Amino acid sequence: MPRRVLALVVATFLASMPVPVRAASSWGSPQYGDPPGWCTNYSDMWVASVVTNDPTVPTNPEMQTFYGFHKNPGYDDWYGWFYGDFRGLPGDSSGWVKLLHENYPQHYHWNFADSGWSVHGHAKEYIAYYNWTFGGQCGLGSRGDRTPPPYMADQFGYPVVDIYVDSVPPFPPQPYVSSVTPSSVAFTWTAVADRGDGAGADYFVSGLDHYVSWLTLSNRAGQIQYAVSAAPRMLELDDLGSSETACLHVQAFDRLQNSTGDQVACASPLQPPAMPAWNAKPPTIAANPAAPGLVGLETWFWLAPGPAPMTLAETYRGIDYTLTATPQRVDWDFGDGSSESIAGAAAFGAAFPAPSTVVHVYQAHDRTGYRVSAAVRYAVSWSAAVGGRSFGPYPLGTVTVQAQPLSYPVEQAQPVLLLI
Amino acid sequence: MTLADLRAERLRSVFEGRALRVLGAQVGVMAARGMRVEETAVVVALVAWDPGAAEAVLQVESRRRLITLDEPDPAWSSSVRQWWSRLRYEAGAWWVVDEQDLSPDRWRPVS
Repeated sequence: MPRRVLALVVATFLASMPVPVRAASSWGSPQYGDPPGWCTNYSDMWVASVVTNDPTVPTNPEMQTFYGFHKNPGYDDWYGWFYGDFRGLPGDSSGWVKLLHENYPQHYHWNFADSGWSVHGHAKEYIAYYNWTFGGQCGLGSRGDRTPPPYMADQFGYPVVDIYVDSVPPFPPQPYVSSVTPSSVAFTWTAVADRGDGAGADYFVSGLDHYVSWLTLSNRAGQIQYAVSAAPRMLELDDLGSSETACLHVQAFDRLQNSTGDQVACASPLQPPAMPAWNAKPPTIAANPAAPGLVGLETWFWLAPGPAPMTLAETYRGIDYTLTATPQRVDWDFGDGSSESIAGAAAFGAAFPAPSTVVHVYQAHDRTGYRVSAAVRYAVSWSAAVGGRSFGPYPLGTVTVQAQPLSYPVEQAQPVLLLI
Repeated sequence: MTLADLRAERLRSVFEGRALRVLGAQVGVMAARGMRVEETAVVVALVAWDPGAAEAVLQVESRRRLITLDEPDPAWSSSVRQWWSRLRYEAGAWWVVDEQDLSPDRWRPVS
């Protein structure tokens, strides 16, 4: 075989091998180079860019452009070379694939689904007719170029099409209760990003576009506060009855209108829990001087131990509540007809030898003992945990804990003459 | 006036130069083959404007379908594109003298 012919055969064979070409592209996106044997003579070289959510690429402008234009020889063989993620593999390269044989003057159709393919992410499509007759148009042989250029870019269509498909919806937004009271519920949701299609260098993400959100109410038909928004928003319902349940519905859309399913969070107004029985051990009342006290001398009183906040956890109608009782004031009764109500930490007194804030001076003796009592008043509040978030505190009422009363005899001091 | 003439006439009222040549040819080829692009739910936003170069980029979100003789009623698919154009102000009107769809790696951010 003459060396020249052998070189042509080898070059033709190599040109048809399905290897990725990483050289710079003259047409369309630069990511993949133009395929070997690609000749653009006689083509207007319209290049299209298609961005769609449909992997079958139904708007591929090239899919109906397989026409014959010459009676002689009266047929064409059409080929395509495809790069990218068009048959389930990122970074793929098809080599020259025969798509169809066309007889003049019929027209033909080809699109990805015809080969069992679908595009995810980016794919690049080159369409050419094999030039059996006019091989010299791109310099085959006669002009000294030994590279065979038989693949002629489509003349009356879009020989190069860059295709970008994103058929994947965004990450699902998470709706949650942002505020809940005994008469109202408010919701919002987490901002999310879009998820793209394809992988690796062919990954394509169209980008998040908007959210659609609305409320529904258990005893009312239809959508409430329906709106389209670019970012998460707050939706609130007031004046709710205790038996009503409100639900937030939210969907995220990307720029190709791929949308998540309906993401839902529901909540009812919080019901105040019943006042629990606070089984706190009552404090004792201590005094200095220790009994007996003396008429006309200050007696310091205090509570032992000093009252501290108390908490209880309980579950009510499926919701976890935390109740807190905080000591606010103490009503002291010193047993001799006098009493005092003291607020704040001073109400508890201070253990001797510290000077106490609860001081009383008895004016008369009582050897049987004055009955000293103290009532500790707590303010009770409640909080609720809904969807992993805590709401409250809200006031529930007050509770009073009686300290153990103290019998405190008081004596009259007697003057004594001492001889020294 | 034929439908193709009407389309060409409408193109000539907006486009000039290379833009008119390319679009006119494309519209003509598509019409000759019984193809046309239908678009609905179109949302257009100006995402870039360079007054010095008189260049604009529009983002067009829409539902599209390609009508052909073989498929006269295809399904709709969602589409988004950014359309770059160079304008020229002449005789009291703006003309599009060059245009192209940008590939996504050249898309301008939407504020």
